[in-house]
This record gives sequence, structure tokens and C-alpha cells, in this order.
Amino acid sequence: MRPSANAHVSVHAATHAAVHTGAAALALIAALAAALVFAPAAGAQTDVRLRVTAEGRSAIRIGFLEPEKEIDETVAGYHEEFLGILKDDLEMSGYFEIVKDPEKDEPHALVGTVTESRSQELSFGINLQDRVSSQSIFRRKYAGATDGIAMVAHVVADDIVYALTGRQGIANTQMAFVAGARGEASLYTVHIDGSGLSRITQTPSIVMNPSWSPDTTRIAYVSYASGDPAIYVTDLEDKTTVRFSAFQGMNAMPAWSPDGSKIALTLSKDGNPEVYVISVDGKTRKRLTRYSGIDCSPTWAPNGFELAFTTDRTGSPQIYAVDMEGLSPRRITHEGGYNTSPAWSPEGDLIAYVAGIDGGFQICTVDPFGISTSVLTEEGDNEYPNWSPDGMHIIYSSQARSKSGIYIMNRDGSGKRRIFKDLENPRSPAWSAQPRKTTLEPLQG
Amino acid sequence: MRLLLVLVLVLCVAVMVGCGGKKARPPEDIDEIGEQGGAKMPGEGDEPGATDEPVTPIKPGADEIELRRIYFGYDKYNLDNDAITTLAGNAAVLMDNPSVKIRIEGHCDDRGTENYNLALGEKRALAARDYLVNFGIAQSRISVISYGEERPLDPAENEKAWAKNRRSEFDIR
Repeated sequence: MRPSANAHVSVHAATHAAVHTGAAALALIAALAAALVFAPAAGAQTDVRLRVTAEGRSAIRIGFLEPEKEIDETVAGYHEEFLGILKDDLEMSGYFEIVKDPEKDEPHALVGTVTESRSQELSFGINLQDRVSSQSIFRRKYAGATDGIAMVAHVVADDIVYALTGRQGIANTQMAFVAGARGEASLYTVHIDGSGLSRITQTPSIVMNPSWSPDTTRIAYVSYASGDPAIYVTDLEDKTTVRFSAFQGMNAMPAWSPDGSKIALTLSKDGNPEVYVISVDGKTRKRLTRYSGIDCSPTWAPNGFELAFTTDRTGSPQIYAVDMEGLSPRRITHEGGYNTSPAWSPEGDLIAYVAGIDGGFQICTVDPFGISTSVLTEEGDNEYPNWSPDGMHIIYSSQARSKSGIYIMNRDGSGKRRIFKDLENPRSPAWSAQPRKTTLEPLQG
Repeated sequence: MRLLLVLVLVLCVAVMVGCGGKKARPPEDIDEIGEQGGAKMPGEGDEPGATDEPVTPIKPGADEIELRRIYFGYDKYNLDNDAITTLAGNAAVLMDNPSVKIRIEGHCDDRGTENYNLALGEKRALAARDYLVNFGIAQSRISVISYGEERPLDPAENEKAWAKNRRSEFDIR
């Protein structure tokens, strides 16, 4: 089952909502930021971007209040389910720590909840408050069916993230990945909370490199199902698949452009692996690299101006970037003799990649100028770094013995945890964009 | 039913003929791969336990020809002297069998990223193709495919297995 976003979710402005202005919300955000961000320089008060700490602890403490009124026993189970998913989502977001005792632990914000049954639907009331002033930040009711509780919880989590940080949440996002034995693998999608697993390819084959369209309706990927490698695009809504690229030789590593109009990929049709960009309608094709060795693994800068890619033009694989004219590729990585599989962050500030270090393969990040690098993993063979749409997390595959699988970590390498343990050898994860933008207009009432 | 029986008998004969033909050439000792001066005298590979068969399987019904695998260094796609010697032999066989078409498969050991290994495998297949084309084999007779690290010959994680897995194979079409 792949629920389409918000299918059963509706938001009702509570008639008794407290008057709340954008200015008040911003003041709170600024206050929290000033209190919590380890400001490296004076004047950082204007910077409301919150980051998790190196220890992986969340920056904003949230406490959950006891329900404002007694929960009817017919909906108590749904209420608990809702709360559990909401708390998981908030912790996963990377911004928050859920405190045990909302009275004693001095949280920054408090969440009041009430769940009621309402003509075939459930109603989830949320009251997010600033603990110190007891002012309501937002107060609204969300409606959902009994089988759509997770979706409501994701929407609420994203609204709380947006209200407290000004950023888009990730609770409603999905992951595409490959699982199964080598040569007999399939492509899957799953909600980032682990629910709603869906198998996308039906013929077991070599399958690799899923890449989401920015509107999350389609996935491009490589399959050898016909006997030769080709790039296919599957529409997740109408379940149709088209063959996008099947030139002689390799057709690999598709990367959907941020504006959705193009796919960068690796083709060897001209004699060796080169990076190309093909329009999604197939009408235009442009070759961006010209080198007799290996050029592969393109990843888009979020502004669409450049592609980072892997090339061995200096004798060992290194990360380079090239503009849309293919002119003057510039080198980004300089340390070590094996730097591959770049993934440009959605904010553009970092490129994640895989570096060979002491016989292992580690996820690293480097700024797009190649000035400073960070090593984020320590052991085993790790690959396929891929960013969460908010740029806060990196997802990757790991081949560490007995701990193989897909992992999520914060962008600084903290908070590593393994996810999706159900299928055999899950790998090649790709995180979808946020299917809907949270706006959360301040309620007037 | 009778037809099936006949078919099985024909296949059995074909397999027997195939095995008989192969005896003329001993299996290459896989342990020597990657070492310098690893050429083996005929018969040396026949010791017990040498079960690996590095020769491309013969396609039933096709003329009996042998095309040998070539091997590569770690993260390399250039042809070393052993690879060139083997390729020259393969080229001569292809010259003598002008109707034979082949697909060259490029493979890698599983160290490094799947993505880069896919490109590396492609370059290993293309290096072999380019040699054969330079030798005079028509490019139209050759296709290439990279399997990256998807099809190891030996799934073990040690130098010996990795050396075996870094290879190009010649598949008769």
C-alpha cells in the first residue's frame, strides 16, 4: 500500500484557536536559536538554523502533556498509536528531544493532545505551546480514518517541525531502495517510518541506482531485466514503466534534475563511460564529459548549474564538478586515492561521497569548493550516500559484517541507526523529496 | 514423450562430445592469477581440487572454440602482459572462426562502490574489445556488458578471491 500524501488527512482550524501572529512565532524561534545554537560568531542571532549537537542530542526539548480531557476508551488505542508515531517522527527529525517529565525536565515546548471519535473519523487535537510563557504556538485539529493514523501523525510532526524551526519536515517522505540476492533483486519503496512497503519491479534482476523525480511521482533506475542494462522510469501512480535509456553498453546511475526536466546519467555508447544529460521527454541529449577513462555517477547541484561526478582522469577516482556546458571540469576532492559516488546536499553546502580509507570505504562530506572534508563513518564498507530532503540526514548502505543494511545518520555523522531490517541485503537507498510543503499559516481566531 | 527422450539422448551425446574435446587442454590453475610468470605447463593444473574451470563454456552446437578469461589489477583496467598474451590467443581463435560473435563481460571484486565498479567493469570489457578490434576483429562481432561486482566467481573476501573476480569473460553468442 502506498498511501498518496494526505489522502485522509484534513486540517480544521479550531474555532477556539488562540490568536497567534507570525511575529510571535518568529520571536520564539529566534529565542530558541539564540539559546541553543553553539554560535561560533557574534551576530549569530539572525541565524535561526538549528543543528543537532555532536553527541546527537536534540536541540529543542519537547514535553507531552496529559490529554486536556479524558480520552474515551473506544479511541484510547488509536490515541496511543498516534502518540507513538508522532514521537518517533519528532525524534527522527533530528531537532528534538522528547523529555520524560514535562513538569520537571524544563522542556522548551509542550504538546497537548486529545483524540476523539467524530462521525466515522478520528479527530486529533494538537496544542503546541511555549512552556515558559504558556502561549499557544498553534492549536488545531486534524482528522483521519482509523487506518490513516500514521499519515496524520506525519503531518502533525512536520507542522511542529515547521512551527519551531521554520524548516520542512521529513516525516512524510519515502525511501526507494534495492533488496534481494545479487542478480535477483527488486526495487522497493517504503515510508521513512518503515510502513507501507511496496515492491516496484516484478522481475528479479540486477537492479540499481533508484532516483526520484522531485515531485515524487516517478523513479528512474537501472535494471538488467532484458539481459542488458537499461534505465527505466516507473510512474508510481499509474504503475506504468517506460524504458528511458538503452544505448549500446552501460546505461547507469540516473540522477533526476532538481527542476524535474532532465536526467543526468552515465553512458558508454561513445566508447567509454561518460556523463550525459537527457531531457525527460527524451528529445535533447548533451554529453558533458570528454575523457578516455571513467566519468560516472553524476549528482546535481540543487541550483541545477553544475553536476558533481566521479572521474579517474588524474589516475585515481576523484570527485569533480562540471557545468551544463561541459566546460572546464574542476576538481573537488584532493585527499586519498579513491573518492567516488558523490551526492550533493539539497542545500548545496556539502557533497557526500565515498572515500577508500585504510582498506575500508567511508562516507565523507566535502564543501563544493573542496576546502574541508569530514569523515562520517568509521568501520566497514559504506556506500550510496543520499541526503534527506531537508539536508539534515544522510542515508547510506553498509556492508559491515552482520550489520549490513541501510543506515541513517545526522549530517555530522552522529546518531547512526540501522533501518529496514526486513528484506535481504537492502542497499542503494534514495530518499524522496517532501511530497507537500508545510505552510502552516498562523491561525486567526 | 518419445520426442523428449530423443532430445535428451541428443543432448547427452552433445555433452559427451564436448567433454571429450575439452580434455585436450588442461584447466588453468586459478591460483596463479595475478602473479608474475604464472604460465603453467600443460598438465600442471590437473591436481586434485583444481575444480575451477576458467575457460568460457562451449556453446552446444557451436564450433568448439575456447576463449580465455583475462584478469586485472585492483582498481585497474589496463591490460598487463598476461592479459595481452591471453587476448592474442582469443583473437587468433576469433580470426579462425569468423562467424562467431561474442559478448565481453567486465567484472570487479566487491571492494569499492557498486557505482564505480560498474564503470570499472565496463572499462575492463572495453579494454578487451579495443584490443581485439585493433587486432582486426570486426567491432560488429563484439558487444560488451559490465556486471560490476554483481557476479563474483568466488564470493570469498580475500586476495585470492578478489584476483579471480577482477576479470573479463568472453561469452560466445
